[in-house]
Amino acid sequence: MAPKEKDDKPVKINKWDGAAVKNALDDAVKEVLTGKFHYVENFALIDGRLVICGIAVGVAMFALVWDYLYPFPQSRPVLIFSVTTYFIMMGVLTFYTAYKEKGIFAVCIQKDNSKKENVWEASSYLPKYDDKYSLSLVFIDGKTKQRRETSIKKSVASYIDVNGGVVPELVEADVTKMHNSLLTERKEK
Amino acid sequence: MEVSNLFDDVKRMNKRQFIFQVLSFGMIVSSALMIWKGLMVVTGSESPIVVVLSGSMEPAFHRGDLLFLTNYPEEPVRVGEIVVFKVEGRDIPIVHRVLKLHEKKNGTVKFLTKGDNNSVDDRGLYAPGQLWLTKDDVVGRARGFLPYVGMVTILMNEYPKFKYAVLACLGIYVLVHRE
Amino acid sequence: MHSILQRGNSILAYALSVLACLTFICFASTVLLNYVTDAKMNTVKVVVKNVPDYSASRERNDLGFLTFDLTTNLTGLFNWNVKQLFLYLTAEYKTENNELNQVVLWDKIILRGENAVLDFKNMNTKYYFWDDGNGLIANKNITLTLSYNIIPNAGLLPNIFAKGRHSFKFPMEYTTTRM
Repeated sequence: MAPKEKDDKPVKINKWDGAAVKNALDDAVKEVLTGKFHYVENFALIDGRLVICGIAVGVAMFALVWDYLYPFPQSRPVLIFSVTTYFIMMGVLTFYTAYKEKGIFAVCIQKDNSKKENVWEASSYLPKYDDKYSLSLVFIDGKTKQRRETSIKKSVASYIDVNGGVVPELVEADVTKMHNSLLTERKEK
Repeated sequence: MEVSNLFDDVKRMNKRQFIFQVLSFGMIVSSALMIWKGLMVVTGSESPIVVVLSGSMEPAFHRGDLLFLTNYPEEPVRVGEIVVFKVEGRDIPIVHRVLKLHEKKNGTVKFLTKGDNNSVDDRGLYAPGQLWLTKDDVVGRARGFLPYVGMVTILMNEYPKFKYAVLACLGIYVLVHRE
Repeated sequence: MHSILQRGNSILAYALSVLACLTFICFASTVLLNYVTDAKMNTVKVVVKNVPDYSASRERNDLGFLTFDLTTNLTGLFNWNVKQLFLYLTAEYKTENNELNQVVLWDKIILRGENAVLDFKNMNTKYYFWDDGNGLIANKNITLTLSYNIIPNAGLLPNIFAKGRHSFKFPMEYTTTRM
């Protein structure tokens, strides 16, 4: 994501397209974490998903080529292997997105020059045909391994104007509020 | 949505999101492919689903009907069954019914087919000099029937431009649209 | 609000899923039915000739001639998921050459709504009864069976034997006169 692109023009989307709205808001939230707070994004989670998808597609392509080289009755064992592998990978992917990612779209690491770094996880959820965007922010303390969570549920209309443009300031205000509440909680203890 | 905005979603992606986009397109294609190959393994037929392309089995099957085939080697061919077979020199497999059958002690079998709607048997359709079909010619035996669904493929094959247009639209939509 | 395209798309998708669901119910409602029924058949006149088979090997093969009676009532087989019955009369026998021979002698298509109460007397066969060699003369055990292939609106394509069969033997000598 080249920084200069963001300055080009405000993000404008078709506001009736739920998936586009969610993506745009997720991007805006991520932008707050990486841009404003200068946290470093950690890609391990999304890389895991990419590897799973990559293996699945690779196995399918392999089956296609093998079946082309050795027509069907001969290629049967290889086909059995690749078809089962493919569907197992699909199952793994479903589990991965449902139980590991759980809607997390950004994992950021707060560099504070100590080895034990604080981790921020942002996840969101927008039901189909609904305007309520649920955002939750998780803070994992690097030293105490404590995990604190705060969440907010607001209509997407509070972040997007009539024309479908995302207003970064509004997103930033809410994310900052959540962010600071998590930090102050820590100090209270 | 204006055309210039169409690619906004893509432009806003970072490298990983873009790779994922391509991979999810790949997964749609591979899912279809793997289901097909899986059906091949389960049914034992190299082409587990065929579209009826001629009217020679009317009124049972019309153009555009879908047939589900199996081809288990241990299952014997019997008279009255509907077989799908390939003939040398013809690209398109033929769907016809077995009319006569002779099976030797060692299990080799030869049979003659005929379309329900044809007045003569299929010897005229076979390769020159070929009098009988054998198990090697068989692609599968019809086991299930679904009407009309194959019409889409017939339309696509008859209007190749339509086919490419549909495929291109679907491909662009999947690549551009972020889930 | 949503564009025409999106609305059209969701209407189409919904309509298709309803159709698919109804088709499945149509299939599931009849999949467990038992389609066996009774049939009575009898041969009236049986002769065998030895003539060159120009449609196949050009060698002199046995050619059987017979006329048959057939009574059956297939009305009970029809339901909302039976589009057509393909009825066929098979002669099954064993020869020295072949462990199993099956020859369809006669067939008939009955669509739903057509008369399914059959009472044929002294019918001629529809197809030639060629043997693959000289196995008909003095053959003591030829079995006639009536089978039917059920063509549904959507679903399986079973081939079913009717209860009731008839065995007969061919004469010991060839007939040389024209029939």
